[in-house]
Amino acid sequence: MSATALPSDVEIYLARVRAALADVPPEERDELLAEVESSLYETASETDGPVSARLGPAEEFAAELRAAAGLHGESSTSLRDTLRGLVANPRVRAAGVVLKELAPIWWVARGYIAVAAIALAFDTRWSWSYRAVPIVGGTMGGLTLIALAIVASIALGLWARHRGGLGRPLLALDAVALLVGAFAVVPHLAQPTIVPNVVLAESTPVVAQGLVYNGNPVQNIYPYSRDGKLLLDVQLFTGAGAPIQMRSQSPDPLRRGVVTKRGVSVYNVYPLRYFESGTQRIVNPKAAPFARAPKIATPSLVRKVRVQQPK
Amino acid sequence: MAQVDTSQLLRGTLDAATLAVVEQEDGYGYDVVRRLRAAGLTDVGDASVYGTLRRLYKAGALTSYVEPSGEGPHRRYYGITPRGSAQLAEARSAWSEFVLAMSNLLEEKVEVVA
Repeated sequence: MSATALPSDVEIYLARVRAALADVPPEERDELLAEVESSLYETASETDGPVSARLGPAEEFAAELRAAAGLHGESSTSLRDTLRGLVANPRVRAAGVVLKELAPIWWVARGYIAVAAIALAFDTRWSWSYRAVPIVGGTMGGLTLIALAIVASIALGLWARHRGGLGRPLLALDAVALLVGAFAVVPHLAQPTIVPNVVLAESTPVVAQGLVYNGNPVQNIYPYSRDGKLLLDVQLFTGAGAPIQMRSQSPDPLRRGVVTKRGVSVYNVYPLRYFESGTQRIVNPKAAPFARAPKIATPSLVRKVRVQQPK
Repeated sequence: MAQVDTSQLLRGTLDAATLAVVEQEDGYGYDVVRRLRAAGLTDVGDASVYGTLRRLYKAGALTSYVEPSGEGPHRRYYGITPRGSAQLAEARSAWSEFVLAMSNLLEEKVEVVA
C-alpha cells in the first residue's frame, strides 16, 4: 500500500481482492495488487459511486485478474475438478468395471482380515503349523472362525451389490476400517515362523563352563591322602593327559599363581589358594572343608617292596 | 449475446491488442485500459488488462519501470521488448489471415442476403 490515503471504499475492495487471491504466492500477489491499487485510485478520482459498481464484485474481479495473469485457480477447486475429470475418464471407468468383477476376491480377503485384525488386537496366540491362523480354542477353531467370517463377508458383498447406492457409504466405511486392519495383519504374516521354545531347549543343550559336579560349578578341589591328611599343590589330569584346569577369562590378581620349574604357568594345581588383598601372603594355607578326612583302610595299591639288588 | 461474443473474442486477442497499444507508447495499467477502450474495445475488463500486462511482463514481452505520480501511488509503466515486438508481428500476421478468411465468408453471406 502507498502512503497516500485511499478512499475507504477502495481499501475494502482491495482487501477483498487480496483475500480472494490468498493462494497466490505473496510476491506475485503483491505485484498484481500494486498494479490494481494505482489504477483503482485513478478510477475512484474520476468517477463517483462505489468501486464495485464499476468493476463488479471483488471476487469476480480477482478471478478475472487471476485468469488473465495465467495463474492457477484455487487449489481446492482444481483438485475437485481433477478428481471429477478422473472419474469421468473412460479408462478409469473401464478399470472400475474390472474391479467390480474382482470384488469377490476382496470379499474373501475382507473376511480373513477382519478375523486376523481382531486376533491381533486381543493378542491371541497363533498356530505354529499354520502361521496365518489364530488359535481360537485350537487351530481348528481359528480355521472355522475364518471360514464363517468369509461367508459373512461374501453375503455382505452380495447384499450391498443388490442394494445399489444405499450400501455404498457402509462399504466405504468398512473398506477403510479393513485397510487399517490389513496394515497390522500383513506385517504379522510377513514375520518368520517362530520355533517353539520346547524345540529350542532340546536342540541347544546348555553347557556349563569350568568345573562342574552334578551340574553345579565347583570352586575348588581339596585332595586328601590315604591317611586323611590334606594334600597341597596336587596336579590333576584327565585320562587323556589333559590338565583339569580352572581359570577365569580375566586373570585374578589375588589367586596364587603356580609355575613349573621352567616358569610355565599351570592352572590344574589344587587346592587353589588366594592372597590377602595387597600382599603375597596366603590367607590360610591349610584351609579345607575338613581338618582330616577319614583314613583309608584298604591296602595301598603301591607297596613299598624292598628289591634286593643283584650283586 | 453480442456482448458475450465480443468478450470471448477479446479473451483470445487481448495479448495482441495490449502489445499493440504499448508499442505505440509506453503506458501504465489504467492508461492501457483507457486506450484499448478508446480504440473501440469498450468491453475490455480492467482486471483482464492488468492480468495480461503482468503475464506479458513475466514472459519477457514487456519491460517495466516505475514513475512517481503527483496524485496517488507510483505508476508502473510498461514498454515493449524485442520479444514482444516479434510476438506482435506474429499476431498481426495470424490476425490478417483470420480476418481475410472471415471477411470472405461473411461478405459472401451478406451478398446473398442483399
